[in-house]
This record gives sequence, C-alpha cells and structure tokens, in this order.
Amino acid sequence: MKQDIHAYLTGQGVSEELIREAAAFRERYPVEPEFAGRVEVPAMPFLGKDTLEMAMAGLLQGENLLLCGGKATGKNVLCQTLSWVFGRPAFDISCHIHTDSASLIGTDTFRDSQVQFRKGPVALCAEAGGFGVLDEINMAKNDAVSVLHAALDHRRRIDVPGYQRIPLHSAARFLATMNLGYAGTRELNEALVSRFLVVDMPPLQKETLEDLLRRYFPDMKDSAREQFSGLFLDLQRKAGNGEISTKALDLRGMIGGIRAIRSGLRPSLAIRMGVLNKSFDSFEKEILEDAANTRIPAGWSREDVFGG
Amino acid sequence: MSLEGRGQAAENLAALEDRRLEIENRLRNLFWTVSGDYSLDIRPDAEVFLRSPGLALYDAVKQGAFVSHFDPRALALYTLQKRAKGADEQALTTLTQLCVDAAAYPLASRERRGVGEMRARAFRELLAGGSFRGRPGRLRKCLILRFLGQPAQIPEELLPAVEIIDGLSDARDTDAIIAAIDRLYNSLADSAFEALHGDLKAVRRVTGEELAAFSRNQALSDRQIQQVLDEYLSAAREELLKTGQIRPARREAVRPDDSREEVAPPDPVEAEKVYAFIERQFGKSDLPPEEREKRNRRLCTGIHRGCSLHFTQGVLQNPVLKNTQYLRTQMQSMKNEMYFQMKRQNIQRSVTLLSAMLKQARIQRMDEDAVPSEQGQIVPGRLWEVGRIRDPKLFDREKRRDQADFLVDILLDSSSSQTLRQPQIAAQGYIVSQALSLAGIPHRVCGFCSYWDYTMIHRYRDYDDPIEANRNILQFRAFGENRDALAIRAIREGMLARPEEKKILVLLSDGRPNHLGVRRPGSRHPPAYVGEEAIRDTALEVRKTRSQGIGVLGIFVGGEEDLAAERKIFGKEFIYSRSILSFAHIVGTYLRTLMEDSD
Repeated sequence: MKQDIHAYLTGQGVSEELIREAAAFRERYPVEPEFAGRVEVPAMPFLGKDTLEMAMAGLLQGENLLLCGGKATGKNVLCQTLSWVFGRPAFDISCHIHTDSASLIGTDTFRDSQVQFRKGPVALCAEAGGFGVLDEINMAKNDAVSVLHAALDHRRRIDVPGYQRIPLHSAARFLATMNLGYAGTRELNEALVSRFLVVDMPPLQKETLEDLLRRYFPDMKDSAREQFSGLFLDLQRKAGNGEISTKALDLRGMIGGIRAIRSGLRPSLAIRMGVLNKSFDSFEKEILEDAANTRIPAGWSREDVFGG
Repeated sequence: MSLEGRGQAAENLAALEDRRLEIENRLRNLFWTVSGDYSLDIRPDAEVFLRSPGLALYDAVKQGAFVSHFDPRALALYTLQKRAKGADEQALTTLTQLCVDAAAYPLASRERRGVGEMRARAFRELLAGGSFRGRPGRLRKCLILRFLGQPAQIPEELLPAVEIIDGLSDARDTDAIIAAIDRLYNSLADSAFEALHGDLKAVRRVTGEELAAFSRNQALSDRQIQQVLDEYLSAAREELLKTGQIRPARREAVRPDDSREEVAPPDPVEAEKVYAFIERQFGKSDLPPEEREKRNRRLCTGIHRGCSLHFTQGVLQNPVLKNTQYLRTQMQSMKNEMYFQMKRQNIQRSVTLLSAMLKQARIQRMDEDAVPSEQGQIVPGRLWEVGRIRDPKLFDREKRRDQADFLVDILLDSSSSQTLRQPQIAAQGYIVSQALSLAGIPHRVCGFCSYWDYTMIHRYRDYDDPIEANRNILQFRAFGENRDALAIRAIREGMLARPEEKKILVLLSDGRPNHLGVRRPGSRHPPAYVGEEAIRDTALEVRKTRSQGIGVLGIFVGGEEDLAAERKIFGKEFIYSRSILSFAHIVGTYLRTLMEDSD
C-alpha cells in the first residue's frame, strides 16, 4: 500500500505547519543509502490527528517520546509511521527482563586480530541519526536503562567505558513504548520519565477501527465491518473493566483472522483462530465466545463478509 | 422420580455447585457485553443454564438489550399493579415475557448479527422442554414456530394478539410495551378484566399502600412499603425478562435488592465517637485523615459500601490509652510469647530449614551462567585460540536465569473463629516471616478482622522492616468478624504499588467470610456480609487479584463442612491443613515451588 506522506498527513488533518516542518526535516537529514532499508513505508499508517500532532511537534523540537497506552492502541504503528514521516531509519530495541547495558549500547568482540567495540542498537542509532524504538521499555530493569540517561537528555551522548564517547547525530531520537497492564511490567523511575515527552495513546474508537478495517479490507461489507469492529470494542470494554485479560484484545489477530476468511474459512472459525484462542483460560474463553457469538453468526460465510 | 432421574438430578446439582460462580459470571458478562454498562447487575440463574444453556445465554443478551433501552422497574411495577387488581400471575408473566422479547430482540439483532442464531437455539430448547398451556402459552408456541420457520397455522383467535406483538418491533418506550401487555391480557387471558377492574389508567393508579397490602396483607410504614416494593420489583424484573421456562422454576425467596439500598451517612458526632472507640480498641491509624477518607472512597464500594478501613499497627504498638482492650491484647501477646518460648527450639529449627530452602531456591534463580561467545567479557585464558582454531570464542556472555524479584504478603484471618489457636497462628506466622527475612525476600504480615462497620488491617511488619519486627507477629489477637474480600482489596492495593515483579498473597482463612456488624448509632450499617453472597464476593476478589498478576494461595484451617466454600473462593490454589502447625511448612514449600518454576 504505497502512501504519499503529504497526502497521508493532510488526510489525517495534521496542521500545515507541522507538515512543512516535517518535510524540511527530511530535506535537512537525507537518509544515508546504507540505512535506506530501515525507512519503511507502513502497511497501515497510524490514524489519529491529535496523537500524531503531539508526537510530530515533540520530535521536531528534538525531544524523545514515551508512548503510554494499553494493548492495541497503535504504539508501534505510530513509531513506524513517525520514522517514515521524518524519513529516518528505525532501530527496534525490544526490552525485556534480561536487557542490560551491553545489549543496548554494545560490548567487546574480537575482529581483525584485536578486541573491538561491537556497537549495540542504541549506539548504531545514535551514529546513524535514526529513530530508536525502545519497545516495552518498562519490561527492562531501571538500572539497565539508566545507561541511556546521557543519551536521552541535553548531553546527547553515550559514554562507553574504555572507548570514545559517541555523540548523538542531531537527527537521532528515541521513542519508547510502555504498557502498564502487562504482567512483569513496572513503573519507570522519575529520572527516566523526565527525559521523555509522554504521549497517552487513546484506546481505539469505533470510527478509527472501522476506518482501519476499511483500509485493510476495502471490499468488506459494511455490515460485517460493523460487527468485527463492534466485537473488538466489546472486548476492549470488557478488558477495561477487568472482566477478561488483554490476551484476546489482539487487533493483529483479528486482521489475520479476517484475511483467512478470504480463503474460504467460515468467519466464526476465523475469529476463533485470530482472537478467541489467544486466551488459554477455558473460563475466559467461554466469555469471549459468548461475546463473539452475539456478533458473528455461525452461519456466516465468506460471502457475508466480502462482497463484489 | 426414577432412580436414574434422581441420579441425574444429583449430578446436575454437583455440577451446579462446582461451576455456579463461573456460570453466573459468564451470564453476567454476556449481559454486560450487550448493555455496555458494567455498573449494572443482574442475578443470573445458573440452574437455567444447566437445564438449557441456549435459553440462559439468550436471556442474558435480551436483558442487556432491554435494560439499555427500556425501564425494567416501570414494567415490573405495572405487573404488580395489575396483579393487585386481580390479574392472573402466570398469564401476565407469559404475556410480559413475550412482549419484552418482541421489543428487545429487534434492537439486539440490529446491533449484533449473531443474536438471531442465539434466539433460534433458545427457542428450539424451549420448544423441546417447555409447556405451552392456555392461550398465552399457545400464542408463545405459534410465535416460536413462526420464527423457526416451521409450518404452523396461527389460529384465527390469536391473530390480533400476534399483530399487537409484531407492533412492538419498533417500540421506543416502556409505556408502549405496557400498553401492549395490557391489551393482550385483557383480550387473551381475561376478557372481563377491564369491565370489572378498570382500564390501564385505573391499573396505573394503584398506590404504593395498596401494593404493599396486596403483597403482605398487613399495615406497613412508608419505609416498609418502599422496601416491600423494592423486593418485589427486583425479583419480578428477572422473571419478566426471561424468554420462558423449561420447567416451572422453583420460587425463590425474595431478597432485598441491596445493590440499590443506600447506606445513610451517620451523624458526624456519633461517627466521631465510633472512630475514637475503634482507635482505642485497635490502635491509632497509620494514615492521616485525608488519606483514610480517600482509601475508603476508593476501596469500600459495591457490597462493601458503608464500610471503613482502619490501617493500624495495633493497640500495643500505637495505643490511644492503656485501657482494658490494651491489657487483654497484652495478655494474649504474653500467652503467645509463652507458647513461643516453650516451642522455641522447634520454631528455630523450622526457621532454619525454611530459610535454607528459600535461600537455595533464590540462589538458583539468580545463578548466572556464562556461555562462551564472540562478544562480551574477554577471557584471557582463551586468547591462545586466536589463529589456531576457527571462530574462536574469546568472550563470556552472561546468561541470567531469572532476576525477577519476589514479594510476599501474608494475610491472617484474625476474627474470633481463630480464638482457640492464637498462639499457634502467631508462632507459624513468625516462622514464615523470619524465614523470608533471612532469605532476603521482602514481605508484609497483616491480620484482618471486622468490628461494627470497620475492617481492621493490622500490620505486624511491613515489607522493608528489619528482621526484629517479626516479633510483632506474636501480638496476634483474634477478635470480631471477617470481611475477607475487603481485606484482600486493601492488601492488593499496597502490593500493586510495589516494584517487585512476582507477587504472592498467602491468605490464612476459615472459609467463612462473615460480617453482620452490630448496629450501633454512629456506624453506617453496611449490608450484611454472610453466606453465599459473601463467599461469591470473596471468590471474585481472589480472581480479580490473580488477574492482576498476583498469585493467591489460600490456606484453610477451618472445619471440613466449610471446605466446599473454601474451594469456591480459591479454586484450585488452596491447601487444606487439619492443623495450623503445618502452616509455615506449606507456605515455604509453595514459595519454593513458585521460585523454582516461575521461569
């Protein structure tokens, strides 16, 4: 789905000034050929004017962003979209409980008969002027992430013991994502949070969800789109009220399931595969199935979902 | 009933008891899904589900659609008024159910395309097992057959009724439904009703006093009248919103719908006296007044509205004055201490064994395995490999097994039911706490009991207290009642605020959440917390705690007659111990297993 940046931003209602400044940023920092492959056109760019404007304004002023939100609020889609809009290579850094300074900054290796520093994704991003996406930053321990403090604040550099300082390229930014709801996540400490502008990702709204499904599946019937988006919102509300976990709140799964309908799979089975089976608790699964049964009739076939 | 039939019934009953909570929660969830309002509540009927799952599920859907568009209370009031005028209950209920279904189904199915199939399944089950007596019954059968597309000739006498019901497909308000029910009743069930008792306007003019007199046939005060009405309307609502019955349902006792009952605020002067008394009896609060109020507002909701929480370190640690209660607690503390001294050697041995077990499990988790790698920490001893072997691995890379931190909360039921084993509980609590301290695992030990409208959370030691604080557990004293779910809620809030990743709550309980509360001027008289309702509420609180990533282990030391309740509350994760003396060993083994398996 080839997208034109200007058309996309205009379509989202982003202010002309921000669009102009983003274009100037791209012109000022053309992407180096070796990193061109890291600037991906998103299959489905982020939808949501206010969030997009907040994020763009922050990045244009040299700030780093912390995207906070529940599951399926589009945190990673926004990161990918921003990398594309600003024309900067994206470096994905998945944080987890074992993340340490070596896996972020880098560590020693043996090359050309000598011990050399092998750069980690943060160091690479800093040099290339990329957008470093620290995914699920709150899964990592605070002491592990503290090595980034100097990179994230006004010093804009990384100090590697025994090696030279790595100054941050002026186009480099860090985008962290976090979801407080997952088991194993923790609150970030103040020192780290103060180095980010925090964007609260709103839960998906009906209109956005329908718009998204329309873009993914242009030939989907209105009635089917209404039911699939309605089911997702039912589950989102249920998870918000603590009645189910967020395991089944999986937009990627739902989209994958709907794709399977194209191959002739019955919609009720496709939704089971894409959404309901994401929960392994039999009791929770019953609740999910009940909600799905009110929306997706067992008798529906591909023709009830896709028309023309 | 045949032997086989009795066997089946017994099996159903056992299945029902096992799954009642799950089924009720499932039906409630479906109701919430459709109504979209999670603050509403219904009383789902798990027995209907066992007899006819399709019918129960469709009822939940229909109720959700109905309550979000119409006023079920107004409808129930009308049926009571009509019955007070002499209408036949069964016929009126059948016709009301038909009209409710006719009005709610189009709304539900328009929004949700799967509802049609759910209705068809419910209708098929009803057709197979229901009875269709009288003209209202025959009308129901005709409508069911027509919906299922089965050939059926609608008798001419029922055609006007079918037309009225069809007219409800675009009903916009409850009055239209009431008018349709009234017309149907007057034409199908009792054609002389209007002439004898008056039209719809006359029915709607029936007053509260007349309704109460009809229900109870005795003189009642205004408040009692309102209560009687509330009781009836609440019970009737569920019945009227059903699709039908597979067999005549057992008439349930009418209970007050306490979800609507307001808890009146007490007189401030009296409330102050009550609070002063609570502080004198249980020790000063740990919290400033504003924080206390905030927590009460946040935590004392739902079935616990009108309750208050009192967080304290106990009357011995933080007394207001040295009164009788202080002396009694001191005496109990001395008895606990005497028991501790008597069993000192055993206790010390248990602590040593338990702490060694926990330390070992912890060390195993923290173990760092170094694997040869092409990057990481250089190992000088391997430098000879350069130029001698292909792809030398000159570095070590650390592979940590798991660095997750553990947090443990021990919550001890300190209600009167534990009176006979106070020294033993104190000693066992001490053993666990001491072992956890020695193993370096942050933990908190609290007791809980309820008195009047207060639920006390007595903190013997806090997470980061020094090891010496464990001796405070010997101040354990059993007193009052127990509102388990509120205590769990209060403890959970503190646990969630902690940074540790793995959190475990161990609850020592007697399987009998029970808080009637003595009615005293100045207290707020929260709803009684007893029986099935209290067990269900505690079970839901335990599940909610688990869903927030906190492991909950129940340790049951009550009588065998309460085992079933305990199983309902904790599900699979509970341990029955005939003796409190194995408490420490059970907790230790459980924690070790968790630490070893949690990867």
